[in-house]
Amino acid sequence: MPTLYEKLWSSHVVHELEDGGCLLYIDRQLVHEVSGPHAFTQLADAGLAVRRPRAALAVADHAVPTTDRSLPIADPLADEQVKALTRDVRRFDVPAIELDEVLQGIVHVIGPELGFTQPGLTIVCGDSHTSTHGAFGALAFGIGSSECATALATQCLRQRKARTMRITLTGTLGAGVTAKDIALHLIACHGAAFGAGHAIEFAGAPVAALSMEARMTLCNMAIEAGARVGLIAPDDTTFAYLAGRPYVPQGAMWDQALAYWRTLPSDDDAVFDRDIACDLSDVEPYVSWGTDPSQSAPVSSRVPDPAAARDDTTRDKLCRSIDYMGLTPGQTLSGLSIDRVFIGSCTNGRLEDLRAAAAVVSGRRVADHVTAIVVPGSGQVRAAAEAEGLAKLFTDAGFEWREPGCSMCVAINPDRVAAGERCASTSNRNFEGRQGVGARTHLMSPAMAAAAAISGRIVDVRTLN
Amino acid sequence: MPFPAFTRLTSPAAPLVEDDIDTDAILPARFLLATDRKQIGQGLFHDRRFGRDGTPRPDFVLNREPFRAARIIVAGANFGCGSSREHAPWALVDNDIRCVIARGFGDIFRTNCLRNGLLPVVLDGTAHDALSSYCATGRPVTVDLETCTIEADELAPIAFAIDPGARLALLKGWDETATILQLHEAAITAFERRQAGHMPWLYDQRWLSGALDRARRQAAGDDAAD
Repeated sequence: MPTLYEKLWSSHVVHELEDGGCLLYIDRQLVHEVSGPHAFTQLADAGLAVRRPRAALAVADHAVPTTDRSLPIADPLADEQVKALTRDVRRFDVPAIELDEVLQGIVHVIGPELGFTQPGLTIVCGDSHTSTHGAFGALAFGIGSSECATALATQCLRQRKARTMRITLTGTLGAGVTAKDIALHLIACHGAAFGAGHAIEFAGAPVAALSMEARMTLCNMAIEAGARVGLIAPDDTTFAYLAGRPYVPQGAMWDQALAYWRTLPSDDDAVFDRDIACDLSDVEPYVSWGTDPSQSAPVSSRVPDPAAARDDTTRDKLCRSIDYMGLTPGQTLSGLSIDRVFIGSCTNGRLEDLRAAAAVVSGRRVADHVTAIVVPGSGQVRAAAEAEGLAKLFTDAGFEWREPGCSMCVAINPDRVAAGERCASTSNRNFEGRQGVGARTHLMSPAMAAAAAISGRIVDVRTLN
Repeated sequence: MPFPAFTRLTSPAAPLVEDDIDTDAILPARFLLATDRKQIGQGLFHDRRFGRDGTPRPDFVLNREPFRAARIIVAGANFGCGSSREHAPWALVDNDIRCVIARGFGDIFRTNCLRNGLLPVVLDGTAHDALSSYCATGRPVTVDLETCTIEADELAPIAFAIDPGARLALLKGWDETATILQLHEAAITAFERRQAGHMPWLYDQRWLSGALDRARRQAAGDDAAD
């Protein structure tokens, strides 16, 4: 009767500690230039080696420019971080992808793309969106730099078992409504911390019908609900996605792996600590209006009125968010003029996302006052999009077509939103200053961001003629 | 990394009683590029603490006396949500803040605190309300990890719960990496031997070593069938 989470957990317990915690075995680690070098420095200072270098994979994504890669990195601090990662992976013999390779991309895009991400594994990375990999039925979670060091040196982390939560989706997703909208809907309904302390498993027929890309979007956003872990049971969609990818076993090993992966889904009689049901039939495209992802609403709705808040803390937060976002209570979200559009990130930077945006853009032009960029999640996504003609479609419409990276989601690279500017963004966080000091972020799906680019304002993509 | 042991701390506690203070607010992302720890400390709450022109905002609690020297913060729910950046607790510790009392914490942030000698205390309900009101007076608060209590004049001692392993690690200043290597090396090796038996594809060194080169060849269209 165990759940998927419990199977993943119990198959990785190395030792049960006296205090109720466990030493959990870590199968794989993704490493990037922001958290990685600090971890390697800790290893170097302690005179330690990486226990299993082939269980790690490194790539620079956060601080890298998305324009001409033949030029040196202009920001000396970013340049130093990328160089530090390069030095560290050589010193510690960790496999790495170089910045000028087609394999380069965002850790959470390339892990699945290379088949480094597989069902049944424990996967960590010094990045909170590591929850993305749970879409494959892997126990994947974000950690800090010093935990990265511990996992590199020991292949283990001291962990406490999370409580389990199942979110069962029912109904049928409407046209123009995506996994991103499901995630924002859930977080808007239940709050930015409803998943804290929990591993969330997404279940139900609509989940089984989602592509791997959409499943990754859903699990990616689990951390925005406060849950370090998002999970989806591996199934034939998962296995079809994985077959033939470079890290994925072949032949007899594939058969053996597949047989094991099929045992992973939660048992029919599994009991979760918390169960939530959600009918998708009436879910609309969502847009965030405030400064955390729970401050999101259907595109047809209005900015809330703080006067109606249930208590002082809530009212103060609403006032602060509305003020930062330059909005007025009662204002409709639809029609809000935007300055920038960002299509990309580990949430929505995959080929399917670019196709969804391109379908909206096709034959249209970006509004004159809007600067719009498309940043593929990886070099392979970029190449595939170019081969399909998507890149030309975007550039013909007035979008800039960029090199892969985290770009304007994290804004520690040249891609930033200026103070006071409003950005329609397919990223995951609308925190104050997230896309640049004073930047105003509106989270939405790729199709909605494309519609905003064309219209120059927030608009329901389903109403675009 | 070793850190100074945490036993007992007395200080004014700065009231920052808002919900969902994220790690981007605690340390804006642009400070992640700093390789020098000193610069990370300067980024603490930067965009809340300073105006766009770089002058301190008098309305921000850590810019007001006696909270400029506060070593404790009292916050609302979900403190430290968002990004996994360990730079957030580093920035707090670099500013001598060693304890945050909140209605709840982001899971990753909480773990990062414990590994840096920063005590996260979960307190809710009326105890949190009473402490929030008290600390606004600026009078000192004592947090005692030996007895797991918070003491403040006028208030009855407030007991708090903390995971026993976390408590011990903070009290002793333990380094998790060193502890694991000292105590559990044999268990790790035994686990790997067992796992290699039933998940051999994870231990196929030749296959793993060749993965990136296979990926490069596939991407170049050289041998899509591999």
